[in-house]
Amino acid sequence: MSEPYSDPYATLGLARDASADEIKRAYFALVRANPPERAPEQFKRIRAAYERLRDPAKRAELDMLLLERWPAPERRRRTPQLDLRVLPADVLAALRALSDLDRSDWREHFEKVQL
Amino acid sequence: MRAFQAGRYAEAIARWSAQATRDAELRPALAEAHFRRALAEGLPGALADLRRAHELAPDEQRYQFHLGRMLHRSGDRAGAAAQYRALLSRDPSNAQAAQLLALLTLEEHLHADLSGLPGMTPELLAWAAPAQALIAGRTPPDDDSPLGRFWRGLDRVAAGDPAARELLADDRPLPAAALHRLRRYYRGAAAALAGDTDAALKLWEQTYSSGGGARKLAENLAVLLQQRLEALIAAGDEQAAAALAREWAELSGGVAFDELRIQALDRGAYTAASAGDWAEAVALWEAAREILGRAQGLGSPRPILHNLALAYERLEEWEEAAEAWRGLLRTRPRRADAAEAGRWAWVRKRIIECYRNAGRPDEAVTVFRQAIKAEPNDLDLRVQLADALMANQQERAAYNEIKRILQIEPHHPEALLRQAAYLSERWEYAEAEQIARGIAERHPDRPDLRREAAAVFLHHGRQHAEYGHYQRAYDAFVEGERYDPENPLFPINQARMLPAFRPRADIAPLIERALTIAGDNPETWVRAIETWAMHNQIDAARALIERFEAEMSPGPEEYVALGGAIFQRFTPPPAPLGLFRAPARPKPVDTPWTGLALELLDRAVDLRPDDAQIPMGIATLLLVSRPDLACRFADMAAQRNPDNPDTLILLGLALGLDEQVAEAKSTLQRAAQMARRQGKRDTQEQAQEMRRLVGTPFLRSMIQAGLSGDSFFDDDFDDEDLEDW
Repeated sequence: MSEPYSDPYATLGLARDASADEIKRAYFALVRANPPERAPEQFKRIRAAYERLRDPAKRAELDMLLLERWPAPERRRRTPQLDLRVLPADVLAALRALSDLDRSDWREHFEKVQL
Repeated sequence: MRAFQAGRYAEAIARWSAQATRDAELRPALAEAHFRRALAEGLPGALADLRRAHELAPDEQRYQFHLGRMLHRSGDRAGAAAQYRALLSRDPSNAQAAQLLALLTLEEHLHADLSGLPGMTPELLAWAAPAQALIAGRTPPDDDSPLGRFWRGLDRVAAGDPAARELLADDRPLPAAALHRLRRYYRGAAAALAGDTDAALKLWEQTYSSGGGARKLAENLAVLLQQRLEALIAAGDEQAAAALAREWAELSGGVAFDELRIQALDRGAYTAASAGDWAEAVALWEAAREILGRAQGLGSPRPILHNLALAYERLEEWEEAAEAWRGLLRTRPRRADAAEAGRWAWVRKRIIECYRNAGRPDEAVTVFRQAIKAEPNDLDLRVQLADALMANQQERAAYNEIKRILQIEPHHPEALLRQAAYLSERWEYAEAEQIARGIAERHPDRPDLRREAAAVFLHHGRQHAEYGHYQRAYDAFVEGERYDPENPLFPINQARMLPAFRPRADIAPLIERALTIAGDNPETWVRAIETWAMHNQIDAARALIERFEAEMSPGPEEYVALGGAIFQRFTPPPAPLGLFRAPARPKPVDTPWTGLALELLDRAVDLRPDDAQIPMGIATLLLVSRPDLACRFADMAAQRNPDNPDTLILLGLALGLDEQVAEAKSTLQRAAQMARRQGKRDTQEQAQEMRRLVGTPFLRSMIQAGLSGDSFFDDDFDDEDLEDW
């Protein structure tokens, strides 16, 4: 196990396109709600998240280092139905299995060679 | 003959072929060798051997029969039919040829009448009758044998009758393995008809694992797996959904199934990454990549490749990471806007970085050279090549590449920035600054480029300060701020330089400016307070600390950073290490500044009364310069975490450095005993070793060298020598 992934936007409850002002507001609101003496762990997480977002240059770099989510489909595709028909191809495959076509042992067809 | 008897037919054929032209009596033997090799080796080579055998012995029916059979198997139905018919015209009683001709005829024409075929007998007609009945939609003849029940089971499935389940439940052996697989598949179909999709899924999974068999198996299995996956996702069981999608990643399915699997895999991988299990995340994203590689119409694989590359980086599997980034780069659109272009440039940098970390910087050079061959006019690509060359320590080649770019486009900003960096490295500051200035002036609307131009001045300012050229440093920081006014380092550094050449200057406005720019960052406050400390203005420092506390609620980390920095600045440096004389114990010097530093460190430990790490960190910080105070914090750490032998070792060291020898030895003894009880052999040995050093001059020397990274030895001594010591 190595260091767990954390998304600073999620920690601060923000969208990835949040403005610098929104980031600052969210940070101070969360710090007020989680002061270090009362909630040291949350405070640490909030501080670390903010540190990663406050500098625009670092933020641009950080955005590249965030995991991207596979987009949810715009509309749900219909689940296909089962096709339970008995196909002629399967019937012929059964007949073929009953024939000699794919047989591998043909030793009775071998004949002695005499020189 | 010996080769033939040993089954080395190729050798026998080679020898007999040479003689058969002269000796006709050898021809039957040669034909038999070709025949045997054909049956041993199978398609595709078998056809040539059988043709040759038939040529050598045209009257031999066996060869013609197998030639027909192999043509049949290879898909040449017309060729096969011709051989079967020729054979039957000579010998209408050849039942094997007649059987295969009947099969072939049905394969060609589903509803063909077999009765008129040569060699047909009532037995052969009965053999084909159940299959013909099913194809024609008639019920096969009643027969309670395992095979008869199989045919009737299929008939019931075709009729949508749940009774099929009972007929196909027969476990008695059938004449061929392929029939077992078909029976299991249709048993699943019968279960699905009866609404028991769980049983159907299980049977189809088994059938698929044993080699498939039915035409609709993969398709129907995918439908049931998709339903199962949808149910797991709806129930929020991401882990099970990801595991199922991974298990069946190889199964080809429709777009809906592919999309769902990728979604489940991505979610599972994200959860694994969030738990720090990057290896699992990689496995899941790799499965998603595999599905995406086969699928069509699912959109770009970019998110998966991006995540995969990051995950490999976390695992420090650098070559795989580089390959994933390269995969991502291949999805780059032909035309990209500035933001997109920046993203791709970043990806290329990542490729260079990963290959460098993998110890293969040359590979990055190869990648970019190949890319440039394909797109010779892409100057950004050439910039990346220059970076790759630099990473591969080919500075001259890198610089030449930059010059080439500037010949084509003299104002290419990225190339100019690299040229400036190159000149800075060679101490050609005026030229480098001229370039940086030009970039900043030419791109007033590109804060990113202006920031990079400012970084040139920041670097130069720091260098000037290091060599005592304070005014030049100040000027560089002033100019840097002009291009990057949002960077608080510029006003802070100006405030640090200014009094050195203008003693009465008021630095307060500069400090305020830094706080206005980045007062939301505790680091700015720490630097600002440190600046007052540099200029020995304790009242101003105290006033700023009060504001910091009121506005920012600093955490213990900030108090430790601040207290540590002040201690470092106002405590005499430890005596230098000597080869023949150990440094003396530092004499504690208490000043108003050390008092302030101690206050700050006390506030740090008070903020988290249960946390042993904070006093441990402080004790380590003070170990060499103020062992008397280090004892206090180490003792606090030991009280907060009484079962940790490492804290006791730290306390023992602090006591030892403070020359409380007896107390130090007994503490280290306790640490060794505790480590032994906890089974920590290395820690135990470490405590015992330290105990031996307490009271000797080597203790201080060793700790001082360990903490400062200094060495007693000349640089020629390598790491191994140091470890041995």
